[in-house]
Amino acid sequence: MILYIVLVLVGFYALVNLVQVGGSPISEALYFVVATLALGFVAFSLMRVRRSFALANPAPNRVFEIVKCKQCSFKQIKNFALGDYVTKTLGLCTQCNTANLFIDGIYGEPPHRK
Amino acid sequence: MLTVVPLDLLGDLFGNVGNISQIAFTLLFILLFFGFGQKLQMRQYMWDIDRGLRRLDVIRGQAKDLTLKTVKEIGKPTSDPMPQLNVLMEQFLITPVDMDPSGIVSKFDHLLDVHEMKFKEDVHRIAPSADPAQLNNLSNLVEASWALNTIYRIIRHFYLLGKKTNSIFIIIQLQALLPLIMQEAEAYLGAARAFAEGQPIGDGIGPLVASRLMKDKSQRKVEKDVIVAETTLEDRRIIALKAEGPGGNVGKPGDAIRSLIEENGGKVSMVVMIDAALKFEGENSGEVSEGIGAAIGGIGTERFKIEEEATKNKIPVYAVIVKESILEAITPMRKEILEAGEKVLERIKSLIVERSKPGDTIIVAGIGNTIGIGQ
Repeated sequence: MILYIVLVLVGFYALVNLVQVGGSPISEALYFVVATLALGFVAFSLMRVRRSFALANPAPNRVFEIVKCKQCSFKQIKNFALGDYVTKTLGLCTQCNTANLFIDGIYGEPPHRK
Repeated sequence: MLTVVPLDLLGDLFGNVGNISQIAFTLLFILLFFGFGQKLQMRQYMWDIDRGLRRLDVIRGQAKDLTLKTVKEIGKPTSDPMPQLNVLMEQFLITPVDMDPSGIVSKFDHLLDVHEMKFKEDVHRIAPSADPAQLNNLSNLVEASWALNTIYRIIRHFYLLGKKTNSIFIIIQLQALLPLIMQEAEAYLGAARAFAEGQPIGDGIGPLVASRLMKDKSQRKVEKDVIVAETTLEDRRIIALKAEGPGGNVGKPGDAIRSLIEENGGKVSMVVMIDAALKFEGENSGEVSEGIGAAIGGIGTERFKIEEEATKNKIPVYAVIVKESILEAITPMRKEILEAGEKVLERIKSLIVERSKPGDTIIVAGIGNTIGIGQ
């Protein structure tokens, strides 16, 4: 933590000198390098911390069910409901009006990581 | 020119003390990078491990909270299940002595049976209202939490040991393995979520294919938690088997195959085993491969039984596997793995046509965790 605070201070100091004081082209280039390295390192570390928090709390999968009818070509994809399982019969088919609906498959889609 | 550059910089930054600072910085540089280089590197590795350990702690906490919540919702315990859950989290299994390996498989089998029975009874005690399928799911959920707790304890042990003994070699090994361990921990958290809701996981592709063969056929139970149904495929008699679902269960397919071979007087022309297998990096998930041998994971007791019985009766054992990563194997089944089910059925058909005659009896075993998959 102390290292990051020191680096931020050095980075800002170099940045202020670069913008306000200036100097020879070599000094300006060096101020620029120091500011970029110091602030870049802090920014990179912060991004790593953010990423590690994101990994620690991965979003759950989105889970869907494929519902089919044994009698006709009816097929529907719907969200997974608690208590459902593959081969479970679901009742009346809206297309052929027979009690032949069943869950043919359940699948999950991975969460999209930012 | 090279010496002018730091002088200019230090002079600009620190004014008149630039020269002294340059000497001090040079000395500090030599001291830091030559005297404490390894220490600094070790410190950096330890920061990484410390961060990883914190993440592991968060993950295991999430899994434990989910377990507790699910136990309370489904099991409706009369008292606080937390103390008993903590006891379950620390459970262990002492493996048999292997100095004299003769008979070790039956010893292992017995130990695993006792462990499973006790584990399920303990889970039932904290979740008395759960039905058998829910009890299996809860057992799987507690096992996932147990795995995360164990990973955390092991990593913490080696981290503290490395810190205490100042051993860079322990720290380097731990840091090198950390990304893989984190990946596995994340997979277990995903598994815990799937187990809590009873969703099929990637490992369930074997039971899924078997359930498609068993659909609308008369079923019976053989051995422990294994369901069998007879069907015909390309004029061959197919005996399909899978663990009893839809609760999280792997059953004892080794015992089931043995008893089915005995039932048929050894007159089985082939055994086809379908299972999920770990893919190599760069391979596509859901790819189907076939090979020879008993495709079944675990400690090896079930594979031993199948190999023994097949060898005794000279029955060829074929394996059809679906490739997937460790994460995909224990988290909700991906679409490409689900779709691989049809390809597996096609492979089985061509295998049967090529390797057997009409009228033959063939055992098709769907191996894996049948959570969220009925029959």
